Amino acid sequence: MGGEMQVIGLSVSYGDNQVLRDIDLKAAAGKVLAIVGPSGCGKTTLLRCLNRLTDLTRRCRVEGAIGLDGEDIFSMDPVLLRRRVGMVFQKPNPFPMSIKENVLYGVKAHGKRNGNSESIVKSALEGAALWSEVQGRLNDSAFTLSLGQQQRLCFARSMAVSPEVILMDEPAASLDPVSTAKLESSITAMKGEYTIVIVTHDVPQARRVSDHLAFLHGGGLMEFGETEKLFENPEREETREYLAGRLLAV
Amino acid sequence: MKAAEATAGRQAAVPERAALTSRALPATAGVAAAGNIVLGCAALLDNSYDAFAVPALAGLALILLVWLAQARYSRGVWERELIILLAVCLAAGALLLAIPEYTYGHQINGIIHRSLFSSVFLLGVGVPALCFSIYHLLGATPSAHDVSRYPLIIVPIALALGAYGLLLARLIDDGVSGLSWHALTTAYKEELQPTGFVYDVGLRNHILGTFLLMGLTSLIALPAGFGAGMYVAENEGWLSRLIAFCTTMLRAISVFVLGVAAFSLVDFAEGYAVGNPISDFIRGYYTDASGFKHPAEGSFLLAAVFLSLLAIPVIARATEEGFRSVPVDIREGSVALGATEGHGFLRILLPWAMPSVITGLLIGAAEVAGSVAVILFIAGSGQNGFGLFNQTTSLSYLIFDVKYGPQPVQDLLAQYQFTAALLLVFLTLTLTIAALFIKHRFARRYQGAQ
Amino acid sequence: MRAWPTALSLGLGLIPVAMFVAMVGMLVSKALPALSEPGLGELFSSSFSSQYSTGVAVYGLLPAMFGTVLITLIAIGIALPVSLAMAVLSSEFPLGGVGRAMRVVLGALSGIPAIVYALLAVVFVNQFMIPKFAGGFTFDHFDPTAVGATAETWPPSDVPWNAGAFPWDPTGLNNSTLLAGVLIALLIIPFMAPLIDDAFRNVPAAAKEASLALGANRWHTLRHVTLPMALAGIVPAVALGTLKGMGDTMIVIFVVGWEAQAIPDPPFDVLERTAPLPAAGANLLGSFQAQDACKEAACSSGYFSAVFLLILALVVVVVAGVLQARLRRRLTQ
Repeated sequence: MGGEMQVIGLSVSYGDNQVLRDIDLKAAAGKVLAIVGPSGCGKTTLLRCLNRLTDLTRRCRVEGAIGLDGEDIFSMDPVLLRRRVGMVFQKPNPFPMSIKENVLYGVKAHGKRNGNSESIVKSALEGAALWSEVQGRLNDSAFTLSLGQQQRLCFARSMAVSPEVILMDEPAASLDPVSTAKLESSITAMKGEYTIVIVTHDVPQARRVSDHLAFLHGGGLMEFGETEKLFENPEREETREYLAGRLLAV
Repeated sequence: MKAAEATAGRQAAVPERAALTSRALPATAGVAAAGNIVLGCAALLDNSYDAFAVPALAGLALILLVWLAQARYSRGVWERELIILLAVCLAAGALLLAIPEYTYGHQINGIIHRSLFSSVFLLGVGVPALCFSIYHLLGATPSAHDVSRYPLIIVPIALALGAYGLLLARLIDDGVSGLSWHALTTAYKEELQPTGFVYDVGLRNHILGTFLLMGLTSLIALPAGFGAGMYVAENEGWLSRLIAFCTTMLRAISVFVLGVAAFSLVDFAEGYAVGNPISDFIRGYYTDASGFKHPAEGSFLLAAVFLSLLAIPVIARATEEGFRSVPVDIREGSVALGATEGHGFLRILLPWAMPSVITGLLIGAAEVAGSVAVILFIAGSGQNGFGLFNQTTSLSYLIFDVKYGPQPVQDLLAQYQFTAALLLVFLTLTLTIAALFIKHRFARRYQGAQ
Repeated sequence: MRAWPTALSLGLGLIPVAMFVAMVGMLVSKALPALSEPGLGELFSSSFSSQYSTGVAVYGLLPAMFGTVLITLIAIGIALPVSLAMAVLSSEFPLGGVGRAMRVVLGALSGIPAIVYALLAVVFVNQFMIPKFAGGFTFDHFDPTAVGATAETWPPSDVPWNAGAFPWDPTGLNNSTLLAGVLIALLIIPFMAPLIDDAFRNVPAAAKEASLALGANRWHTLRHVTLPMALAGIVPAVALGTLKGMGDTMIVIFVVGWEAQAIPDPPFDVLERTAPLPAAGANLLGSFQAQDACKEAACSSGYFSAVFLLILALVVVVVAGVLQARLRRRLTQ
């Protein structure tokens, strides 16, 4: 079962530039949370806070608290945190290794040395709806796959380490519609096992896959709640406008 | 408030002690390992520290043993890495005991002092032990593993920087003693008087020679290197690859060969009399007190031609980088506005690439200043005056001359050998730092404009 | 021809081509006589003696070739780990401003010419070679009894008197291959380290982030992602270091001398002096032991050594290019 992540009072600034202001939200265990909003509103930054990739950026100041199953992630070892909170990036970034080595990379990195690597690879690739397409050529280079397949490989790779939460940063942004559909279906299939937080600017996609929705605008959280509620009966005018596909005044 | 604090303090005391014990051993081991590393470095510098090597290793082994026992007692496992470390430590100590203070024979042509082995063993055991200790001191988490790798990275760097420091310290120490206004302004001169040879001793001609060589070489190398670099960057095709290949391979021609080639030209010019342009340009000449011209053994012009073969690859590569760094959008923008190629070149490409070209020029000049092998056979001590057609000389050549040159030079200029080196290093340092500064400053300006 | 800038750059760019062709042409033409006299067989034989020392001239270059290989191996063996460590400290395991400071220092050090290292070899001789390899003796105060020797047993019979680090080396000119290798390593580190640093930085951040996001620590990322992907950039750095090491003349002349009489026995004896090709070639061509120009067979042998060195350099460049292309293809296929 996936873990629960809680964000309390999160504010992030790069140098003098404040990107996020006082964000409060929750990713419920085993559910999909979609974060939507216009470009530049800080969605990706919020996502990167959740697995502390913001630690890698210089001059990035993070204030507030983020909890994973009640533990403060900022007092954890970031490496151990990232074993529980995985990430799939916007552009597929498989390693220059074989498909099998890609999937097993995280497992090997954690130092676990068990004999059932075969079953790990199989279940991860099945979860990403990729197994049937690659089962005969696991030793081929990951670059022989199409972009959509590479992205699903990245998904499988992060599932192979059995995290509690998987973060996805606009995972379908560089994919064609067919690959997008396959990716979305695997997200929906996997969600009970993991908590998924997905950033997307594709509003219909958010409606399709998510249980909860957080709408960000200008660095602040406009509204947060169940997806259907925000679509049918939002509390704020901006939410209604944005979800209906209209441009928002800044 | 205070009572509560006291109670809390007492309650915290018990878990504190357990935490301390599990921290104390890695900390002690770490300190012992660090001590071993420091001792290893000290033994590198001074043989007498060798005596402490075996005790240091024994101490470390003891601490590791205690740690191993404690780990076994508290957690019931034999820590595998700890056993390996302990074994290596003991083996090193045993080996050191077996090696006599001086080892010779055994088919090795030298006497090796045991301190060399001590240093190697102390460093070889100390660095892994320190890494291991830091790892456990910080809680054996994956991030601790990262931090624990720092000794492995820092020790080689420290040794190398220490070596450089030693060299530079000696250079400054010995070079400064010869530094004087007299040295800088007097040219070396031998004069045959009725009473015998009279000498003036100084570095002036050498210094001027270095500058003249840099200037002349740049005049030749800059156009050629610039042209090559620009053509390679801007064009594809076999011609471009040929130029790139030839320019890179110029570097591969051994410098002493260039020296010999220069000398063979001098040999060839010996068939011509003084006053003939061939002899003048290649061999050079000097005019003595009575106005009589004598041939020299290799003029500055000749040296510059061959030195340019050193500088051209440097300038060409820098130019190529400069031109390649022009963003495609800016080029296309210029073309889209209907500018001619010549106009685009002068207004856009050239200014953009100029900092790189200047960087290459400065570094090429530094190479020229330091080069000896090219002018090895055609240079002299500047004793017959200074000018375009006089015999080549330079600061770097002086360093060679003092060791292998004619006896008067060896005796008289020996005091200035390190001074010349110091001046040379000062010059090349200025050039390279200026080059770095330009690269740094303009890189940011152009990147910011994008 | 297109516009004037291209024509001008082509014209100027052909100058290096002409120079290179002229130089190689001259070298080869002057080296060709060596094929007949002394002939390839003798050139590749393993003993060398010039006319002045033994009265008979045998121009075997194998010891010099061996010297080149040995010195270059030592130099790269020292310089590569240190450069890797510097690059890792600068880009992957940063420590505040130390990385940037180190790059500035390395940039400054890269300007120091080889002749200065050659001159400063005496520092290492006094600080290191004499105490470590001759038992703390100095040129002035040598006491064999400190080694436990008697008049009968000293010098030991199995140690040749003119071996590299011995204090009674009367000329004081020659020290060992090891010292030359260390100095060349110091010469090439300021060139190799920044190039390797750039190779690390050019590894796409996406790959490093992917690895970290999967819960690998920085060391694991370095070993399994960054280093393999940076290999294509490390190869030219090593090639440059090798070329500089092979071609260096001044350090080896000052430290090892120009005598390459025989391959040392045992071959791995780094305390012996084995002059590499540049020094041996310079000796043949310049006849350091005599002031006049080179004699016929010696001359062409000297040019032959220059051509051989050029071929070696070509091999290094080609192999490096092939390796680099192959590694790059592995990254994108």
